[in-house]
Amino acid sequence: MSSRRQFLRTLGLGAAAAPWIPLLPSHAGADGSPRRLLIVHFAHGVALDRWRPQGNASAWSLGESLAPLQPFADRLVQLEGLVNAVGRAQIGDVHNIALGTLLTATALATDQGAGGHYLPGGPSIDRRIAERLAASAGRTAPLYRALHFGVRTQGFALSAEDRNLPLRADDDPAAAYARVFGELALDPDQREALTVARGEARDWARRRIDALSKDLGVEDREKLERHRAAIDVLEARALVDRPLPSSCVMPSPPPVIDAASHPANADVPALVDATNGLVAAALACDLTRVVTLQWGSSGNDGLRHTWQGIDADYHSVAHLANGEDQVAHEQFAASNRWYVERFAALVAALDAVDEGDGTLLDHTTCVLLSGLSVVHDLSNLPVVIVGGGLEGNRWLQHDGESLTGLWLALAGHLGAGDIETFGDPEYDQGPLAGLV
Amino acid sequence: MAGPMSSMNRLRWPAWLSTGVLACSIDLPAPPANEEDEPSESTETSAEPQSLGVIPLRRLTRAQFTRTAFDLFGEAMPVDLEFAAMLPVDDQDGGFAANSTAINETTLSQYERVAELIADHVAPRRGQLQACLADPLPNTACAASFVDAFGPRALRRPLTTDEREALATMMWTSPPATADDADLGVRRVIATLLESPDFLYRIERGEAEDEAPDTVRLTGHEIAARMSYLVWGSMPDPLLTADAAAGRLHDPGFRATVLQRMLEQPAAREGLAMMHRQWLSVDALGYFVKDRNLYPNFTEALGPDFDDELTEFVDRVVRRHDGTLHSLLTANVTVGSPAVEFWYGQDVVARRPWAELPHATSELTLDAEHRAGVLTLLSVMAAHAKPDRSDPVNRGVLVRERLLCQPLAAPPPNVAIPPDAPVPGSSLREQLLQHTADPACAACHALIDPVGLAFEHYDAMGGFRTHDAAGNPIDAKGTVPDSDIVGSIDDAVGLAHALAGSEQVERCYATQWFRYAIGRIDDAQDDAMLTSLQLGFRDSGGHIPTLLRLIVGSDAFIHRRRE
Repeated sequence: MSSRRQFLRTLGLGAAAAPWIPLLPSHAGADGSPRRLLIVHFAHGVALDRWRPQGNASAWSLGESLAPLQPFADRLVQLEGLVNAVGRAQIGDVHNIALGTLLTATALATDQGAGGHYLPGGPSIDRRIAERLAASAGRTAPLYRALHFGVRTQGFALSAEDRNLPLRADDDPAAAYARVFGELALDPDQREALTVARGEARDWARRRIDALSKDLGVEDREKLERHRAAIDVLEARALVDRPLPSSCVMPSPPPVIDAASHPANADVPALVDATNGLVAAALACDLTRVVTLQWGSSGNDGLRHTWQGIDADYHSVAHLANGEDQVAHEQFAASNRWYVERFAALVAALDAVDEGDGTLLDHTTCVLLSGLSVVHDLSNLPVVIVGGGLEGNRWLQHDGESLTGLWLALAGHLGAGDIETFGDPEYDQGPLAGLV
Repeated sequence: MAGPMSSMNRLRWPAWLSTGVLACSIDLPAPPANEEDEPSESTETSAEPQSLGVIPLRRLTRAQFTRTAFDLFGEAMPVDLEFAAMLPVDDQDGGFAANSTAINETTLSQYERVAELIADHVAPRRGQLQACLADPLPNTACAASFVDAFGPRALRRPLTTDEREALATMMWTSPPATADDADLGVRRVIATLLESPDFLYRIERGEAEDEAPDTVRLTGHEIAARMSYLVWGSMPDPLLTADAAAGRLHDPGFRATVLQRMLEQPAAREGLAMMHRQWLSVDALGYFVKDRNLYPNFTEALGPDFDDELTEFVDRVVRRHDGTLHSLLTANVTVGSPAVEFWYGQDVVARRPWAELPHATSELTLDAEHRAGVLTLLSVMAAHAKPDRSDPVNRGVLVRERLLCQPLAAPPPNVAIPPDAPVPGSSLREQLLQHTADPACAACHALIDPVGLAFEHYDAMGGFRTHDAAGNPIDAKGTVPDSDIVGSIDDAVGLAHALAGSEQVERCYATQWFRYAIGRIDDAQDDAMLTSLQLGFRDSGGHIPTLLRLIVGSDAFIHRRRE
C-alpha cells in the first residue's frame, strides 16, 4: 500500500529501519472526518530575512527557512505582524513570558525568573478547544482530550489546564508511548486484570482523599480534588470499550534514549523524530484530536545544535542573529530550517493518511510558531499554518493585532466557535479577520 | 541561573549508604561555648512565632521520593533500579523544589507507573521485607503481619483498624496457592501504598483534639516527618518513629537531642547535600556539558564526581569540622576523586587518603590563595559557567540572590542580550563594560558584574587561571555595592572572606534554610520567626547544626496555622 510506505518515508524512517507500522483510520463518519488541531512551538524566534516571504503580496514565494514546506504551499498560510500583547505588557523574564502566555493569552500567575518555572495565568487555547470538541463529540470523543508532547522542555509548560495548573509536556517518547499506546496493545483479559489491580489502588486513594479533605484549607482541598478528578479520568478512560478504527495498528515502541528529558545534544534529533511518530500515530489512530508539540524549553538552557555542526548555545545564537554577527545569523537560519524540516516531515506523515474525504492533513490544522520573533521581541511573531482545510497560498500581513485573535479564529474553524472570548479581555479584539 | 532541574538520572544509592552498613557514626563537635543548652519553656509568649505560617500542601520531590523509596524497601529494592526520571518534574520554585502544583492525569499516570515499577521489582524479593514472606507460600496471618509492620512506615503514620483490615484483605484472605499469587498480593499492597496521598504528599493536618484558635499542633508522626525530611531528605527511621509514637517529640529539648542523633547518621550527609545543591543552584551537575574543543578531557562522567565533591565538602564542614558558615565559605580543604584532583591541577598542595568512602577519594588541601570555601569549588564554578567560558553575570547573580538574599529584577524587555559582538581579544571584563554604558542595563548590572567578575580566575571547568583564552591577564578585582561589605576586594578568595564576615550573608543563610524547611519563599508572616532564627544563628557564631536545632526546636516547627 503506497500510502503506508509513504507514511514511513516521510517520518524519515527507511523500510529497513521501521518498526513503526503505519496507521490508517476507518472511514470518515457521517459528518465527515473530525477536525483536529496541532500546535508546534520552537523557541527563540527566527532569522527574519530567511523566514519572511520573498516577493510581494501578489507574487510571493516562501523564504529560505520555510522552503521545506514548499510541497504544501497550496495548503499553507503564513502570518506576520501578530503580537503577543498580553506578554508584552507583563514584566518579568521574557522567555518565560513568551512561552507561558503564548497559548493562554493571560499574564503569568507567577514568574520565578530565569531558570525558575512560571505558573500559567489561565487555561490554554488547546485545552479550551479540546473541551468543546469533546463535549460536542459526546460518545465518539477520543480517549484523550488533548496530548502534550515535547522534547527537552525541562518542565516549562506551553499548555495549561487553568490558572496555576501547568500542563507539562511528556519529554520521554518511550514513557509517552507506554502510557498512550502500550496498554492498547494488551488483550482484553490482560487489560481487565490491569484495570482491576489499578482499581484497588485508585479506590484506596480516593477514600484517603475524601478523608483528608475534611481538615484541610481551601487551596489544599482543591489540590486533592484535582488529584481525585485525575483518578476519575484515568479510570473512565480504562473503561472505554469503544474499539479503535479497525485499521489502527499499534506502532512498535520508539527507541529508548538515555536520559530522555535531559538528553545529550546529539540525541535531540532522534527524540524529535520519535516524538513526531507518536504525534502522527495519536492523531491517525484518533486517540486524540488536539496535540501540542513543544521543541525546547524556555530560556538559556544549554541546548546546542551540535548535530548541525553548531557549537554555540542555541540561545546565544538566537540573540546574536539578526544583527551584525553574520556567522550567528547563518547558524540561526540553519537551525530554523532544521525545525521546519521536522515540521514538514510531520505534516507529510499526516498527509499520507487517507481518511476517505481527504487526508489527515486536510483535517488537521497544523500551526507552527515561536513565542518570540527577534531576540526578546514579542511582536511580529512567526506563524505558519498548514492544512486543516484552510485556503492555502496566502501571506497575511497583519499590523499589530493581538495573537488572541488567531486563537479565536482557529477555535471557530475547528467547530468550537462558541468560544467567543479568550484570555485577558483587554487584549481580546475578537477573532482575527480574514483567516478562516 | 542554571535552568535544568534536579539531576536524578545518575542517582546512585549504594545499599550500604541507605542501610548504614558502614555505620559511620560521627561525633559532632560540640557547639561553640557561648551556647546555652537549657530546654526552652513550652509556654508561648506573644512574641514567639506560633507556627511556620501557611505551608501549601506539597508532594515529595524526585529526590525525596527516591530516597524514601530506597529507605522504605531496604534490601528488597534492587540497588540499580532507576525511576526518578519517570516521576513528574519538580517545580522550580526560585530556589528549593517544593512541588505544590496539583496532580493532573498525566502526572498521576507517571506516579502510577513508578509505583507499579517498584512493586514489580520488590514483590519477588518479599523475603527481605518481612520474615514470614520469605516462605514461597506464606500463611494467611502473614498478610496481617506484613501490613502491620510495613503499612505505618509507608504512610508515615499508624494505620487505623479499618485500614489494616482493608490492606490485609487486599493482600490475601486465604493462603496463596502459588508463589506467584503471593507475589501479586504483596505487589497490590505495595502499589496501593505508594499511590496513597499519605505517601505522595507531606501531610500535616495536626491533632484533631487541639482546640487552639489559630494554630494546630502537629502529631508526633508529622513532626518526625518534618524533621527527617529537613535533615535527611527522607522518611523517619524506626527510632524517630518510636519517639513520635511515645509523644516525646512535642518537647523542644528532646527534639534538640534527636537532632543531634540525626546529624550523626549517614543519612544526614545526603540530606545536607540536597539543601546545599539547591541553595547554590548546582543540582544540574548530573548533566553539565563543556566544550570538548577547549576541554578534551571533559567527559559526562565528571558531573557526578563534581557533585560528590560538593557533598563531601559540605559534609566535612558541617559534621566533621567546626560546622560554621564561616568555614563553609572559606575552608580550603575538600574531598575528591582522582578526576577532581586532576581538574584542580596545581591548586592541590597536599593530599591524604579519605578512608570514609569505599572509593579512591582523597582529602585535598588546596592553595589558600586560590581557593576559599564552597563558592570556589570546581562544582560551583563549573555549574555557573558556560560550556566554553566563565560566566560572571551568572556568578554575580548567584551571590546576590543566594548569599545576600537580594532578588534581582528581570532584564528589561527588548534589550539585546548579549550586547554587541565582542571585540576580538578583549577580556570578558571589557565586554561587560557595555552593561554600565547602557542605562537600561546599568541599574542591575552595577550590582551583579563587580561581584561576578571577582570569579574570573576560574574558567568554564572551575580551573584556576592567570590569563584568559585571548591572553589577557585576569583582573579579578571587585566590589559588592549595596551590601554590608565595604571597600574593594582583590579576588574570589577575598570575596569569600568578606562574605564570611558579613552579617547580611549570615542572615541570608538562615533564611535559605528556613525556605528549604517550609517549601516556599518567606514573606511578611514569617518576620518574627526569621528574626528569631537569625539572631540565634548569629549568637551561636554561625553554627549550622545550631541553626537546625533552632528551627527544629522552635514552637513554630510543631504547629501549623489553622485555616
